[in-house]
Amino acid sequence: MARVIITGVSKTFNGSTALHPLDLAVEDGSFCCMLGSSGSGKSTLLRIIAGLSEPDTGTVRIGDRDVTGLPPERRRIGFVFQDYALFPHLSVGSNVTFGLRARHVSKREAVVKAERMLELVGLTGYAHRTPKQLSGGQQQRVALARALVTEPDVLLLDEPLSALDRKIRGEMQRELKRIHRETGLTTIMVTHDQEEAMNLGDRVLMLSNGAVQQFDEPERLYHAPANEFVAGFLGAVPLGHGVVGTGARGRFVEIAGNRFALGDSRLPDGTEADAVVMAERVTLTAATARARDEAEHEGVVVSLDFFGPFARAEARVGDVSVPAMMLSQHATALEGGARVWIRIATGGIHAFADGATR
Amino acid sequence: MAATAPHRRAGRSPLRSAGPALGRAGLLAPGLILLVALAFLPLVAIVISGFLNDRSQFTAANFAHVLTSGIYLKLLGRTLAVAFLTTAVAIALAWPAALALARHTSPGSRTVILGLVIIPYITSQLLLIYGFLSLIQAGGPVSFVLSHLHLVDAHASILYTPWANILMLIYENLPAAILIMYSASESIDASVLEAARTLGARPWYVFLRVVWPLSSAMVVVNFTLNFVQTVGAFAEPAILGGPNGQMLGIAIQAQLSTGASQGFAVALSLVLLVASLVVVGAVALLVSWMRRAQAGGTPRRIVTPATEV
Repeated sequence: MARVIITGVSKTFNGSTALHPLDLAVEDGSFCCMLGSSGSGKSTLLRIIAGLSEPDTGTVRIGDRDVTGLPPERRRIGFVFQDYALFPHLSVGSNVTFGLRARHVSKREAVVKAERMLELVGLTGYAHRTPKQLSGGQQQRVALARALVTEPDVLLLDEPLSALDRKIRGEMQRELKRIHRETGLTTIMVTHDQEEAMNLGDRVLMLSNGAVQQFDEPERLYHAPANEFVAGFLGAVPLGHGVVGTGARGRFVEIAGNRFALGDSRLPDGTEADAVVMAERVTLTAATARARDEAEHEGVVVSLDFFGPFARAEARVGDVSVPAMMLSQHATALEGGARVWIRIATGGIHAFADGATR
Repeated sequence: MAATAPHRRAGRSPLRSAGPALGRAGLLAPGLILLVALAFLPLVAIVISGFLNDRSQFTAANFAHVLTSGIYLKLLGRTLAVAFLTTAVAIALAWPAALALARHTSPGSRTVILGLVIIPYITSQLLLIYGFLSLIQAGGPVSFVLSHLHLVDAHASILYTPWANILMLIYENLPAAILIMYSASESIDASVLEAARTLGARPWYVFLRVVWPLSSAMVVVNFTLNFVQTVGAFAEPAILGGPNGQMLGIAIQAQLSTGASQGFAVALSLVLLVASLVVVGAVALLVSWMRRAQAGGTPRRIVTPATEV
């Protein structure tokens, strides 16, 4: 168990920058999720921590050891791969004992430890099977047991759940949470799924184009995105370009003649800004249902999409298009072309000054 | 309509099941006919002729002669040893090259290198042998360079020694060995090798416990193909090997070309064939035993299908 401290680490591949120099401190026992789309540098960073890739500059410390330049086998890490990377020629039991045997633990002791670890991941009695006989979820549990059994200082997970189907992914997320709680192991996980990152991470490192966009608790990331990119990645939709101002009912951003209430914004009045809106914080009410509230906008439903439990509507306020996400039971009263009252909850709109975003 | 549909399906089903069977037979037939006509029947004829003497009487005398003759047994031993050595060395040399090709080479240069590897494979064998001869003969480029470095005498050469033959055979075995080990190396997932490293395994341990067991089946294939071919070599030892570098293939060829005793030549080649099969079988058994021992015994088969987590 240890904290991981990264200082000034950067990396280029064939002249293109994969990681701009970055610093990062992951606290002992915490669960850090590195979130970003493909090419954001998140996997590169994880591989640098693991020693599978060497940084061009900077240092990596695990606990009180500087591990920069050490090969992966001397870093005392556990690594779980997206494609499981189990040894196809070895039984499940031998897969789990591999790391212990490589470190000269006696066979008897290794087998006992492997059994205990298979129990932790819920695979008691599977030691004699071959990896091929297991489902994807089970294989990933074996990979987890194999990484944990060597009692590493830090557990590194490279998109461990993205090859699994949705239902099993949810189950494995709970599993990972439980195992993290029980072992108290410093854990760093790479993912491109923001829900997964929010659910699992104590803190989330948001990366884009090889640079840190924000490193924060999930709630902060969601409620106070540092820039338009972060907001967009977490599902916010561009509302339009406008000017920030202050009116009788507080701060607003005026887009194409429509004033949208802004929560707390540090932008001074008169600032030109790009505004984004979180569709799940927008509520639509059919105009026929009741009279309009002062804080509500008047609009027209342009489109309506049904996704099972959820529905998504697009409404127009003048020339501005406002998306709304709702439980589909609330969408039954709506229809295309209908007049609606649009309420945007406080903090549902963020404005970012021009040029401050990537 | 609904009533006729089942009839039609019932009527078509025998044809449907016969289709694949016919297709299978059609695909297999040409190969089978060739195999029987050109390999199996001649082999039977050869085996029979091995048991006949000059007066066409049935006898085991030819085999008795081979198995009691010190000269021929010694030649057989040397042939097997040379074939084993050259095949093993070729694999040992080819493997690192194949790993490098599969893991550390850009796709473009990989194609070029593989193309270059194949060139000696498709070049006339005699041309290769005489090219090698002119390279290593006394006064040739190799002896010129080495003598000017004062490493050897100006007239020294390994030509007409067993080593010339052995080097040539290794050289001839290399292309196939590189191609086969390349495909073996490529079939191992890079992440599996990385996983081994992150688990604390040093490179050598990774090779022994991961690369070797995952490649050993291909090593056996490689060994079999090259060994069987090398055992029958006669042009290389005849041209390069000199008096002490001879192999059994030359003796067989000599017996056949002088017409002295066809039965004896056949007995020689059959003994060589059986001995080669024994060597190949022994290597295959040894390798599969090693693989099983490493996997921690054969996994107990559990009939229950893998259940979803």
